[in-house]
Amino acid sequence: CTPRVEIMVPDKPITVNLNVKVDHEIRVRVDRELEQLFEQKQDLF
Amino acid sequence: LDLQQAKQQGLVGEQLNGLVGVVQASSEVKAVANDINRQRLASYQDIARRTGTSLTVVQSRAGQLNIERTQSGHYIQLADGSWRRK
Amino acid sequence: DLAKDVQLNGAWHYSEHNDGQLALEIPTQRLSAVSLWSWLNTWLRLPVGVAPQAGQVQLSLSTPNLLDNQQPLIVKARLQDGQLGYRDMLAERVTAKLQLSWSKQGLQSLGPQAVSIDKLNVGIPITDIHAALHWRAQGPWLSGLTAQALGGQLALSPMALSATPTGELHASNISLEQILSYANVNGLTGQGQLHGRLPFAFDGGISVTHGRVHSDQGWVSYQANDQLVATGETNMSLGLTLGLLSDLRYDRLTATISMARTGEATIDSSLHGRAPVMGKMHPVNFNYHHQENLLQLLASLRFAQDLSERLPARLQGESE
Repeated sequence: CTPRVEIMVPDKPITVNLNVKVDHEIRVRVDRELEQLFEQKQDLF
Repeated sequence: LDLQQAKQQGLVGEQLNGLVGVVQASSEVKAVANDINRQRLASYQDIARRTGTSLTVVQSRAGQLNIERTQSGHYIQLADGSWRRK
Repeated sequence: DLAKDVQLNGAWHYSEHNDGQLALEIPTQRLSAVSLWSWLNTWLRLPVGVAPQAGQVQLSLSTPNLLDNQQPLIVKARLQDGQLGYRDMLAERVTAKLQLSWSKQGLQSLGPQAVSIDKLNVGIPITDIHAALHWRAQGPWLSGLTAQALGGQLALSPMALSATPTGELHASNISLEQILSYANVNGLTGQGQLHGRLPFAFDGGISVTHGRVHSDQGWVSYQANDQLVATGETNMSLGLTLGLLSDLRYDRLTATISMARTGEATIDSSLHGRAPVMGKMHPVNFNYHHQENLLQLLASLRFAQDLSERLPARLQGESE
């Protein structure tokens, strides 16, 4: 018979941890740049 | 005629796309608006490049901020494109 | 004539009766909410940044004797088709009914005062807002508020409307599917009904501490893009996590939420259920720690709604 290798997955629950950090800095940077623009070129706005 | 005077006299108003729109057309008003918009677009393009986002996003956000900062009595553009005094 | 376009016409009636009485009667009349608000703002400290943009007010005032401040001034006001702006947020179709008696003891409400808002868009639309208010000696009191959002119901516990109110938000039947759609992560879907209690405090900004959320019987599915799947082949734990996340069915989800006034929030959630491991459904405990500035998320949702292009939020994650 052919040897059968079976990965015995333990039947007790597997625990997995996942950490995610979401960063919204793109919009925040656009706002900061626009505020500076309004300040520097007041005659345009 | 500068931008503030044009706004004061209700000749131009702030648009949703961050540019100045002509409310009461005349050759002088059009000239002022085109000049202002040319310079604004150059700055918006620069911001888009530096923040790694698109010109549309910068223009739209500028439009929102401009409208929020518009003095009451001056013209602003509504979502349907019509003009209204704030 | 109180201001540019705030005129009230009514009748004074002076009588000699017991050393002089000055009765005032201003019958119900219509005023523009915008001009009334700007007139009130000249002498009442109204909340900064709130600006009505439309609305009709029906106002009536009466007092038996203006000279005697024990005698109350009865104020009846009804707001219809109001539109209220606050920074870049808008409250649409606002109605209010107020009946107050104003005397030396301050404001007292005559019966329930009701405020309702059809739609308030803070990035996520909040609809059917109904609030009942009450003026007491110590000031305005919120006796109750209900609203609809994210497919479920919100309710506020009764609380004093002081400058720094504290209270608890109750949420029920909140749709996990809608939350995930607002999270705006491609390939991430799910279904489930969330219920929760979020104790909050307002002091220049809202902060939430020890918020609790739970849900029974739901699922989450993340279909990773090819590039991530390829990385998963060489990274054991990422591969396991991606496999597990492709079809995670939970019996029980619990989460704690806290948010600072700045909007920085952390969500610690744990899902107990079954998920594919090595191609077979297997009991799993999935602990998911999420960090995000929720106020910036809401701002970018408001900001993004005007343009088709959703702003990409950068995701950094690691799993062990």
